Amino acid sequence: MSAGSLANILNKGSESLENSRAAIDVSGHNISNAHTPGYSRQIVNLETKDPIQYGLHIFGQGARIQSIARVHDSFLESQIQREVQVQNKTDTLSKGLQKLEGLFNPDLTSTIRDRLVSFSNAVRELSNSPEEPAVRINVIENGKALSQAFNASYAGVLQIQVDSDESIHQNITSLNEKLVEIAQLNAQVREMSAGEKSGVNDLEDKQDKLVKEVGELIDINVYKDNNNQITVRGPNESLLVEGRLNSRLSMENNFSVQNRSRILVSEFDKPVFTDVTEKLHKGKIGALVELRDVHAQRLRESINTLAKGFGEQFNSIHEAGYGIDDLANKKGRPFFAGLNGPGEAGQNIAVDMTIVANPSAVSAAMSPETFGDNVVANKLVKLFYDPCLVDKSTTLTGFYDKMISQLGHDTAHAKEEATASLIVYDKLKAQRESHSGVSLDEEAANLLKYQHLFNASSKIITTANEMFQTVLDLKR
Amino acid sequence: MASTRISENYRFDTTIDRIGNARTDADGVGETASSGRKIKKISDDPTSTVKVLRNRAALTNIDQFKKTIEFGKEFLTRTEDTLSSIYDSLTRAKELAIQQGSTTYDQPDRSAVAAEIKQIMLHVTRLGNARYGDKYIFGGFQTSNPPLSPDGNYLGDDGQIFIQMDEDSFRPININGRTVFDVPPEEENTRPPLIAVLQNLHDSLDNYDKDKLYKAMDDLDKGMNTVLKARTSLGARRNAIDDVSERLEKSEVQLTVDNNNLESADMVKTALDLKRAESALQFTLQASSKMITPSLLDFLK
Repeated sequence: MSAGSLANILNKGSESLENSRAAIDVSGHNISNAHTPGYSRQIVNLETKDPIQYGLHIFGQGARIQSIARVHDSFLESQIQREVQVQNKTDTLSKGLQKLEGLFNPDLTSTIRDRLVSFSNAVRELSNSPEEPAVRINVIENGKALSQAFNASYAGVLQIQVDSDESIHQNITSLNEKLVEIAQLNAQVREMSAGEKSGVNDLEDKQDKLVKEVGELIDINVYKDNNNQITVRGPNESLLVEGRLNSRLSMENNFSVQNRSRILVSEFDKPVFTDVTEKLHKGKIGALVELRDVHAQRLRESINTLAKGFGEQFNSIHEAGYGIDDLANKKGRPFFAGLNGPGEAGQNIAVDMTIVANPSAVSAAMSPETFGDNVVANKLVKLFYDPCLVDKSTTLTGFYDKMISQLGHDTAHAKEEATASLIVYDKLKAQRESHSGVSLDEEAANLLKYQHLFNASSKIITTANEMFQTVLDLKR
Repeated sequence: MASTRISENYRFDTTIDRIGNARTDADGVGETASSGRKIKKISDDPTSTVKVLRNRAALTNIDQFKKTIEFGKEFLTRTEDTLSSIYDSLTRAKELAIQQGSTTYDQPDRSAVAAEIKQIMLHVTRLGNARYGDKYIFGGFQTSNPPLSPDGNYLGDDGQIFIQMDEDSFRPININGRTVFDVPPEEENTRPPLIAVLQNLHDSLDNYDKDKLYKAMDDLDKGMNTVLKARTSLGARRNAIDDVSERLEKSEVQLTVDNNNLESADMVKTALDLKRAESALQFTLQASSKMITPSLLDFLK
């Protein structure tokens, strides 16, 4: 036995002391991050050092830290990355559709449908008593109320489009910030991990978290190379992040009635822009674009079709009629104005000013100077339940019903999808937490375990020390 | 197989999810219970929502149809009553004329009778200008001007006033005044208009002319006949309207029942659901409060 091997024992002890200190350090890190979102627990991987031969025997050289690794399942992680896009899309879309749906709630009594019915009954009264001024005023007031219902529904839908657009704007701003962060993180990871395999655990967690946050907003595909560099591809396979470079999304123009602003992607810093509006299908932005350009837009168009179709046909019948009193000899007056632009019919439909100014202008009679003639009024009544829209295939209320039942089905469908996707996403998150999350029980046990190891290691050192003392005392 | 690893986040997240689910559930049932309805949003059941809306509109329309029917019936009643009065007056004129047809009366008597006929004539003219509300009932579409001139000429038109009493049922409510007060086409050129007949009757008595009297009596018969025909046709119309009215009552009941079935929540089921959701929420909360605290750390001292 040589003094060299005694020193070896001392060495082993001090290394073991160091190992247990490191392990407790890692446990401390884990505990303090137990509730940090996106954190993956880390573990100390100990390994036996290569043995050395002294004389006839081979001696073990103790343990060393092979790596400090994060517990991470990359398959699960990529599933979460995919699902987070779907979950945010369905959730945002479902909420947006519920807002749209609220505008046409069956409990409301001021919807286009209710007002159509009230207006039709006002016209029926007109047919009963065309010579009565009070009845005519009633027709005008109900016509105004119907116009306002059109205007209000239109404005409600338009507001949701404007809000969606604004929301897309904000999300794009935060998306751009995240893209910059990912690119910066790529650079940081490259510097820190030059040569090293471990040690960037926390940065990788951060990468994963950022990528998920990007996925909450927009469609992406994510690739990771051997140097832990993340490449993010966006809609239409556009490169969003590669190495330390990042692209930017931007919106062209502001939203207006005539113009639904387009969403563009730059190619890194180059002034080349690609329109990806049609390619956005996932994430919050995908949902908001769908809400703005498909659902709300379709409703807006339907409201316009209804307002214009109804207004024009009502007018063409009304124009053939004669009024009473001073207008008993004059025909050719439209009842509704604002149908032919500029602007859209739903927004502008209103009772014509000539009619509002003079109830005698309401035309119920087919022939001049016949105050009791209700032929035109009866034709107007028929308009309310004859198929008169879409190539005379559907009634006014039928058209409205189709519009809202489509909306109802879309909303119900979106709600179901959101619920389903949330279940999948929660399940995946739970799996991830189960696998990568910090367990305090486990950390408590680790603390105990490594504290014991620490104590024992120090015992090795004191023992070796005493042995040295003994050897040194021999020489006296 | 290894048991599921329970990490802190897993424990907290799943607990929060569970409580969230229980709350959402309780909230939904609570909303149904407090509103008493199962359809609160279109997406709850789009197909039923549309049905409910249709039924509601149909009910509103029925209210209007009932008003219209009421109006139509009253208009018909007024017309019927007026025609009856006219017929009675004409009958009286005829009785007087028949008496005077015999030769037992002398001129002063005849002049007195002629005066009464004159009164009848004025009365019938007034009845011809009868109104319902502001409408002259015998003027066709000319409802704002008297259809009979003081000398009995018909000034109205042939307008038929149709009003809507049911979705697909427009019904005429007025009698064409021309058939009653003017000469109907089939009697064209055989007699003068009704008031002129009375005038002739009066004239033939006032200035006795037997032939003219008989002709006038003959014409009066024809005139009375058209009045009677007009009145009879009203009876048929009234029956038809009653039919419509009855049909509306029935469909009103049916629609109300339908809507109740579509919209209303089953209260017994809702009450049970509510109880179940409440206890589920309570248990979840209780269990969570026990589950969430302890870890090994609490026992290391």
